[in-house]
Amino acid sequence: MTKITSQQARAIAGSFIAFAQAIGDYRIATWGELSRAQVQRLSDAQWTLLNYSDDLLLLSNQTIAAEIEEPLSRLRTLSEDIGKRIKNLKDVQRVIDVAGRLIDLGAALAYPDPVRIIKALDALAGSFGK
Amino acid sequence: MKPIREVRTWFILVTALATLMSCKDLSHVGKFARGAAQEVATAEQIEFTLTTACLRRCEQAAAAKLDVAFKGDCACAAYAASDTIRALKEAVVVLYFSNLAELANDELTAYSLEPLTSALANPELNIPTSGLKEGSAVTSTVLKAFTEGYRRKHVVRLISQADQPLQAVLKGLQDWNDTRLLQLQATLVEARRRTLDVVGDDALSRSERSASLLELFEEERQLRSIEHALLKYREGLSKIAEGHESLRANLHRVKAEDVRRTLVQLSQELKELVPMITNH
Repeated sequence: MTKITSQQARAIAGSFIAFAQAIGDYRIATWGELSRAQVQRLSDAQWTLLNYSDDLLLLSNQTIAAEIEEPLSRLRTLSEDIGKRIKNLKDVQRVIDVAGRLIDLGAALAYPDPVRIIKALDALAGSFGK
Repeated sequence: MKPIREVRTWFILVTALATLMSCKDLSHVGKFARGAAQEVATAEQIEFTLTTACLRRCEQAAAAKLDVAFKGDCACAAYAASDTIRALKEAVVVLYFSNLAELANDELTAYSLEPLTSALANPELNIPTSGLKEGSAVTSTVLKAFTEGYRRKHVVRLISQADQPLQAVLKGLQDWNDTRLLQLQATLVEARRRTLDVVGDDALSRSERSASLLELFEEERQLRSIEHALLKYREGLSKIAEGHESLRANLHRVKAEDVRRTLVQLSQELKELVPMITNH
């Protein structure tokens, strides 16, 4: 059996809603002319039509989800990939920072001074923590 | 003297090449992408979903039956799941545009060589300051050129590969929005039905029936305001689709004046739509 598309489900739901609206308009147009039982039947018919439209709108949404699953998955993969590229570009600055800290450390080690060495190591650790 | 002249020639050539390769100022792409991300993210603030409609209907049914023992046990789980799925899919679109905005941001590759040059300027290393400055300038320009080239390549690749799935997803979001609009229409019809039932009930007093009509007018006002927001969101989604399509169609001239104008215009329109969606 052919599956209903999201568009078809919405179209049918739209027709049910329009029909329920038309019944409401009819109730106003015949205000005071219909019996209580007739009014109740019309009101019940409206309620039933609106419940059907609810089910169809839910079906429409579920069908949309299935219809866009594949393109959405591709878009998600691309977005994540580009996130990695951004990280690569941000890493360039990190490499520059780390290189600067390493040179500082090298200079501190070449001319031994415990305070300088500790400061340089702290700064280097700080660069990795960024 | 000759080697120095050669070094200078190379310096000029490298700088010129680097300048040509650079792709500075993709700000209009970033601006558009930021606007698109904001637009889709804002739609979450529209407080009308299939779940709210389901709960409303369920409560009305309980009220009609004068069910005093009603504890909110409504069969709305499927509607809630559907709304969650929609929100998750919108989040993917927001992520895509946020990443595109960040990649198109010129500041991303505005690297500072200062930590390196100041470390090298340490007098204990005995490196001549003049050579350092020249070297730093060349490194900075070449680094910029290559990272800009990398950035441009990936902006172009991203737009090119993402356009087809993005258009399909945007179409899905528009369809979802149309479902919400229909749901809202159904809620309006239901509110009128309920009011007609009350107003036509002779057992009730005139003031009770009149109060019911007043409630309807208020509810209609609220629903019309939400409908306005949903229509604006739909408009925004169309503009996002149009802007991305324009980018894809002009991939190799993303910096061209007409493309820039179109995107700046669309960004402005998206910016104007956001408060219309949030202030419903």
